[in-house]
Amino acid sequence: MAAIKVDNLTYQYANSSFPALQSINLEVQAGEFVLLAGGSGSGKTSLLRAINGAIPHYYAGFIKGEVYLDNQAVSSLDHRQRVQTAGLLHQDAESQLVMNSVAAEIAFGMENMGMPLKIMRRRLTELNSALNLTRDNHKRTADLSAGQKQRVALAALLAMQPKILLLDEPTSQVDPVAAEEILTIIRRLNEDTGITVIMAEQRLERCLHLADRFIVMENGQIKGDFKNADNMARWAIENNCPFVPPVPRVFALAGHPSIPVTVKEGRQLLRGLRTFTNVAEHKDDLSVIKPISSDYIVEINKVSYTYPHGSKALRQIDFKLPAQAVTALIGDNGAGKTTLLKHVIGLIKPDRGKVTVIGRDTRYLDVEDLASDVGYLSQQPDDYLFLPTVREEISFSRRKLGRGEAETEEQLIHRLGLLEYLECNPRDLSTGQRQRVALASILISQPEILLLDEPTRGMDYNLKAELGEILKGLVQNGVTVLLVSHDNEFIAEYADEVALMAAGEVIAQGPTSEILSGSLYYAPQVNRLFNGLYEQEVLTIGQGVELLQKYRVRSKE
Amino acid sequence: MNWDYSYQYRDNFIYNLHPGIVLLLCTNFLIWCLIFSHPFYLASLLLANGMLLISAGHLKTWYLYLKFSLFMSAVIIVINLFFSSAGTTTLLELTLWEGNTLKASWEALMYGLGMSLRLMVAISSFALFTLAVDPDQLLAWVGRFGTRTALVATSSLRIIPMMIEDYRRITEVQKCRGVRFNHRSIKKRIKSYWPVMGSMLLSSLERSMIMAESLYNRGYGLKPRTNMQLLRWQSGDYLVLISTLTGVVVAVLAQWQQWSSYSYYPVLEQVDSMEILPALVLLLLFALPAIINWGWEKWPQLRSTT
Repeated sequence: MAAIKVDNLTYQYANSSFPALQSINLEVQAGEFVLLAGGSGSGKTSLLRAINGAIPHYYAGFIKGEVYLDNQAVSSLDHRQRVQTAGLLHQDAESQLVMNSVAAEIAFGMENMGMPLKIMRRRLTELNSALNLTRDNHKRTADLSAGQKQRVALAALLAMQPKILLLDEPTSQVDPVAAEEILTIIRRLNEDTGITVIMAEQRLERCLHLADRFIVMENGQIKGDFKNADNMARWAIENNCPFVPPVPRVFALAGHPSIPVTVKEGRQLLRGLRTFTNVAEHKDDLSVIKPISSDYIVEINKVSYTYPHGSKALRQIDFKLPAQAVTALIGDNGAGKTTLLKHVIGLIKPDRGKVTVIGRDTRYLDVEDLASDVGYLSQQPDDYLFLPTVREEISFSRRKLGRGEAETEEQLIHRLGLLEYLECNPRDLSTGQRQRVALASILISQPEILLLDEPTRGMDYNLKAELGEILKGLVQNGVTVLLVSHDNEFIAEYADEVALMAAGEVIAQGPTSEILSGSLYYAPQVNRLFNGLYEQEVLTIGQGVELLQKYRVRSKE
Repeated sequence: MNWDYSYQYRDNFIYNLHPGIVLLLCTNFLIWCLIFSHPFYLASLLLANGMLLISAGHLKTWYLYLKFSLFMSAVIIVINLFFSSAGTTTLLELTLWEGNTLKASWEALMYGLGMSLRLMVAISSFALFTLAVDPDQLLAWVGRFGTRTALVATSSLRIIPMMIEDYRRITEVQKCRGVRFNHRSIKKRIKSYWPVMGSMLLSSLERSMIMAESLYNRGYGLKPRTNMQLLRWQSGDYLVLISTLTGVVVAVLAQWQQWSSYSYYPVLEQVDSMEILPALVLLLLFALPAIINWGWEKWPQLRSTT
């Protein structure tokens, strides 16, 4: 008997003109770990909502077909039964927390279910241990990091002991370390307790190896359903679907007969190829990264900064930003990356030292004075959006900054693919589209420097590739890009230079290949795949494919 | 992120009081500041409220709240000074144009100051509520009488610091878009805040949608509901309850005898020494938790008994 059965389900939100789900048929067995892949707006969230009963009980709209949980129609279950059967975790941990302290948050669902005090206390203690929350129990939820908040939200859900765990991109808003922790916990829960897991995710490199089954969604439909990852990878490459992590992508694009899923499997495969190391002599044939300019557009000299509440963010920092290149700032949370970025735009003035931006000392400038030369896109694009249409949003910046021609505006709209959304409300658009609107509102003033704080957070592979190409185009047009990111794959593909920060200091700075290659933590998957097997640093998917194809040709010879 | 504006547990007597008692104290300050008109009584309420905040460890935050209220106070004083014609003692007379003069009276100034004092008490009582009442405990306690109302109250308390953070972040990004917040013209300055307010409003609405769905997914609304928080009444709670209720009796008496009433117009009323004494008694009774807190920190024995 299937734990979940979706029978010919079609659903359309009340305020929408097109269906979010179309003729979905799906059966999931008890204890399965299903990975749901798909881009923004593909219907992943709606499918999870339909399984947990929020559709149609909470969200009104047109519905056809039925969802069955343990052979019982969801529409016939009452609120208590639905909550006890399937629990849904959202991607935004901050907004789904309702209580002040961690303990109260975890207990909230149990209290609603009317559980006796003894059981609540016991479950709280167990969950604290299982999710490593014991030390945070009396903390305010507001004081926790994004990763901790997501763990608390997961604990709160598990406290109600649902049979099915539905996870909507649980790691999209957290850093890689926290993401790894959360995924390990989920995998352990699935293996140890037999709980059925359906997880929607966009960054598959983190979790492809965890799942038993892979479902790809597009335009509200199931496009592919696979029992193993290599079949999915092959299918995705053949169908030009972007949901393939770097390792299988390299092998699939190179036309290799076997498709590994993890770095370990990939390396085993490469080692098994007897003539592989022979290609070392052809290292010069590989695409070489372009040299970086020796002109510096931003110079930071001996800058120190301490926040008013006492935490030291920057310590005697020296940093130079090469002109007309993409430079990435990497490092742990709290390393001082965002603080450094805010020094460049002048939002923060140094306590000591000097920041020179395009030859001007920021100590004597207001943010508004720098705004037309330095564009800043924060982690939350929504903060920029308040006007009723995309067109007005872009024009607003042009008026405020007093730069940028109407002609430039039209070009920008075309380049960022916003033409069809001009009369839409920016808040009705998807995450990636919202970000492009915010980016357009900054680029309209044609800044010389563009600062981006975690620009790929919550983005799918397609959107990331689009953003990367936009950045490349900007650099070709003379713009300098400085970005903060935890996305090693994106940095490897698009950054020319990388600066590693830790505890308010720049620990290392240099070309991307020099900093990322062979790094224990910051190396992208492609680099891990080839590291030690080939002399030259291989960082990007393109380089990896090129190398494998060369090898295949030589093998045939 | 400035989370000093919201509840964070501290180990002192005020924070260990039952949420109902702190709620009673806050409501008490709010109600009496609306009823009293005598500046001495309003000052005693402000002082008592301030003592509670300081002893709870929030001098700096109280100062920030007062700083915020000073702007509003200045508006009240200026408007009252120039637009109230009930006073008789002329302080200032401005000739605007022929035959038209603007008169400011001493009584109007004092009335404005009295109103500002009232505003400060109201804001300080709100500060005490947001800083010293644990929203989770409040939900556990008030939830017995009405879960929905309690949840709205606790969510509001939680949302205030989130909105302060939103405001900080959005102001920053709008500055980077060229929005200037330092215009000399007040009209332009107010207008420049439109992008901030617009973004904040829309983000809050979106957040509330997710929060509502999260509440639904976690069984909110099911009955019967239980509580994991066990709230016990301690001897300290009874002590503060008695002192506050005694204070209420004194306040009722003072109001009945009209000691706490004051007339500013047409001339300032003379202050009788008999009127001041109950104000001092009220200060002592309403500030009792602050006095106990001082002993609570000094003597561990008191800590374990209260």
